[in-house]
Amino acid sequence: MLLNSKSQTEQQSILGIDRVIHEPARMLILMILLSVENADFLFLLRQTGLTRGNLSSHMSKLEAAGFITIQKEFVEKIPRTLLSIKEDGKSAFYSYCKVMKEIISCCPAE
Amino acid sequence: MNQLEKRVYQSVCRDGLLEMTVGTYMVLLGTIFIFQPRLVAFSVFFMFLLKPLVQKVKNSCIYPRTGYVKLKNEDETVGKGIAITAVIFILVLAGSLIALILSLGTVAGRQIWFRWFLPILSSIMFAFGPFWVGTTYGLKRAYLFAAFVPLCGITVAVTGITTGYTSIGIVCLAAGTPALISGVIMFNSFLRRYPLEDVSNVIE
Repeated sequence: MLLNSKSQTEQQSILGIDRVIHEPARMLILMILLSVENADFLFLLRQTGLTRGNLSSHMSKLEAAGFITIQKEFVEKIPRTLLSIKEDGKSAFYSYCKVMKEIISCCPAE
Repeated sequence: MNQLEKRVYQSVCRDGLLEMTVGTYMVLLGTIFIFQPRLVAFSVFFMFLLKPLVQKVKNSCIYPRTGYVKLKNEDETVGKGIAITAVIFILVLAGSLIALILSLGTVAGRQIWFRWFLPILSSIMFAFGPFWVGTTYGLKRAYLFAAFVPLCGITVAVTGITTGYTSIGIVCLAAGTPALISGVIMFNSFLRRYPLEDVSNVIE
């Protein structure tokens, strides 16, 4: 069956979804980091409700994708893991939102 | 996104530290206005004294429990807001005094200004801060406080229990005391609700 140009665009949009961001936990982490300047591990733990291991693994994936920076520092001898979103992360998130909007606009109404 | 941003901002304000700081400052300011209004300019130093104290409490009590977060343009926005409000306040107060003296004469003008304008305008100025907090952080209790402070000013002016700088002092005490008490209660329940997390605040 031949697809018309609109359907082809839809398909391309779906295939263009960023899989790193598409995971709900990672999306939530990015959204929180977008709304603040930076936050530490414990703050994200409280905000997301994820387990330590889960959050830690998602953070590593986001860092590997080049979306966030993770810095470790000591404040009054207490270690703090500070996270902030990179410009690449911001633009990736916004383009993800754009793609999702396009896809949702193509969805049929109930 | 906006809702999430507000939720994050609200979570930062649940420790009662903001209420405690504002309440303490208002009580100190009120005490100065009542006993030594000439020294009111020195109240600015309280802000400089309170800031490191608040930071110390955050480092030792808040961040180990709920984590550290730096909000966007936090310091710049607050600093600008306070400066702009103070300048507008001084201009409005001075302008109203000059206008009253020019239209009613020195004695009557000053009398009306001290009785009505000073407490009401001051209380409106004190309401700017909580109103800003309410709109930025989406905190309903901040709106409540923003409405309560001018009400104190109007009550002081209407009842005429006191005039002049003492009236500002009364407004500050009336607004600061409940803020301080509610802050202490919130801080207490915050400490109970969020026990200390272990130090392994690192990637595992």
